[in-house]
Amino acid sequence: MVSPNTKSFLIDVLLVSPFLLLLVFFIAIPFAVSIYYSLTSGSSSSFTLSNFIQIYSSPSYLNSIQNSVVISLESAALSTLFGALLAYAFTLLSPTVRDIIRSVLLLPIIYPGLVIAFSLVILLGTSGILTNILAKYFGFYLPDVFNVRSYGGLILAYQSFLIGFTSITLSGVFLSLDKSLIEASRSLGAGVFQTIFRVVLPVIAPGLLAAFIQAFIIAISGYGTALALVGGGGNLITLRIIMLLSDVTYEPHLASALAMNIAMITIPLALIYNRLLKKVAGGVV
Amino acid sequence: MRLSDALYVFSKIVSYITLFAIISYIFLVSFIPVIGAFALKWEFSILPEVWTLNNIKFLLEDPFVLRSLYSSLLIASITSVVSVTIYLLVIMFLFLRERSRWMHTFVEVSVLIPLMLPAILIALAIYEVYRPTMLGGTYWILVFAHLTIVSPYVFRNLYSVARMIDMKTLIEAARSLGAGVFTATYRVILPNIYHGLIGAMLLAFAVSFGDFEMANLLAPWQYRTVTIAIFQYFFKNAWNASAIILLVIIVSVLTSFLVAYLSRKAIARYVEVVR
Repeated sequence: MVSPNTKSFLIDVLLVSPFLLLLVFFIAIPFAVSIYYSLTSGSSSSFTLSNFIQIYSSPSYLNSIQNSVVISLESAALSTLFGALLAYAFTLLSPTVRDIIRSVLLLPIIYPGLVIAFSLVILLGTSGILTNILAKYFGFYLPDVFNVRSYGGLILAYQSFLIGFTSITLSGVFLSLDKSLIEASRSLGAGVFQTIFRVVLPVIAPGLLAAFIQAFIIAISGYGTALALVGGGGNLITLRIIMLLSDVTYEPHLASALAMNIAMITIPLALIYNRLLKKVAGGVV
Repeated sequence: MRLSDALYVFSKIVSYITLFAIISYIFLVSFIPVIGAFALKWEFSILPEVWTLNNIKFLLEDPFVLRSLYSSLLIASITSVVSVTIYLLVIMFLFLRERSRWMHTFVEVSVLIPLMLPAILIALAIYEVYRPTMLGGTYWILVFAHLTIVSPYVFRNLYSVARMIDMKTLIEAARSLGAGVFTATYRVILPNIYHGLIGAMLLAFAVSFGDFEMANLLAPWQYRTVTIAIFQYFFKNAWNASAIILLVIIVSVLTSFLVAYLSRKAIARYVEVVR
């Protein structure tokens, strides 16, 4: 006869073990292995910093890190701004309309990034539809001022799904913003700008920061959109990693070290994000 | 008109214009391939100059595309069922009786790990670790990789539903009335989180179906997925590739609207129960 204690313990183990197995075998062990790979070279198994030295002494790798960070910062800043404006617009809409718009915003989030990239090429590429129409009827050749297969195009492509994340995260913040706070501030004699900067901003600041971090992490760690849009011509960390994993040059050690550079940026940010998320209701993930 | 009123009207107008511009942009980039899938020649006008069904025919006849469609459906179905099972079990664990705060935090933070790490890093490591094992060369290696990237979506969906229906009280009530854990799950928990469950499964399916970044590295030769097919065909024939994209869009659109509908249903049900 099994005692009730043993039985409930067995049930606990049964319930929790699939999750723990997944966590250990497909997240913890792979992550440990990529740390190990980044600290060893292919030829010997002793620990070495040679991969990181190679990265930090190469202007081209440093440039790729800089490009990735700058592009992600710009994308995150833009999408937070637009997300905030959208979240504000949500507060003015009826719940039904809001729900419909939200499901439209969810769409690009579950699209593969390369679909967005291809749509932009079809629309705005050198022989894209909009490019052709503009050239034919307005005599204006778009690629002269804006090449969609560039970093600028990448930022534009990122907006399509980053705004979904930021606006949905921020709409929780804006909807829970207490209107009476603003009224109280106004009736106590504060001006419009004073109310915005002293009352509204401190309340929504954690939400803005959370949205910004989330957008930044998504922008810096993805590569599908960049590969389809900029291809081999772009110098971004993720694209360099992909190049190191092709059939011609397969260098998992150097690739892991490069990926570690992204992880060193995203892990602390994600921990801050998780903290902030406790103060912010809602969000997609 | 006072300054504050003018500012209020101005901010309203700006936010409405932004809303309109962004929604149009998203519609444009999302649905260009839908029209493109039926285009033979489309260069200088708002809509294609010559329409055709050849792209759809290509989709239904090309062996590589059909094969990739089969692979994607297979991998996405397994991923969605397995991930929802795993996270339902762990959520049952969290709510079965009083658990300490750190257990909840541990699970909450660990499901977020795949969001913190670039997919390419996890994919590369899984490739290096499991290629020499019996997983290498099978589609299971991709299924396990997808289980990691869908986890934040699945967990958050199920967890919020579990908290909303107050799963702990439900389990306690069922068990104090004499039901065992399995009866309580089957007769009480499952019917109550049904909508959340389907929503989570759909999201997992769509995320796995739409993944390119992991599949590109991990999918074995004979199990290349739909997104890989899109990537390979796009620079050969954009309209043929659009037909494949159309498939992905249908899956995404159905998912996002069904998820929104189901979460409204779940909330409505909750409100009904409370009344």
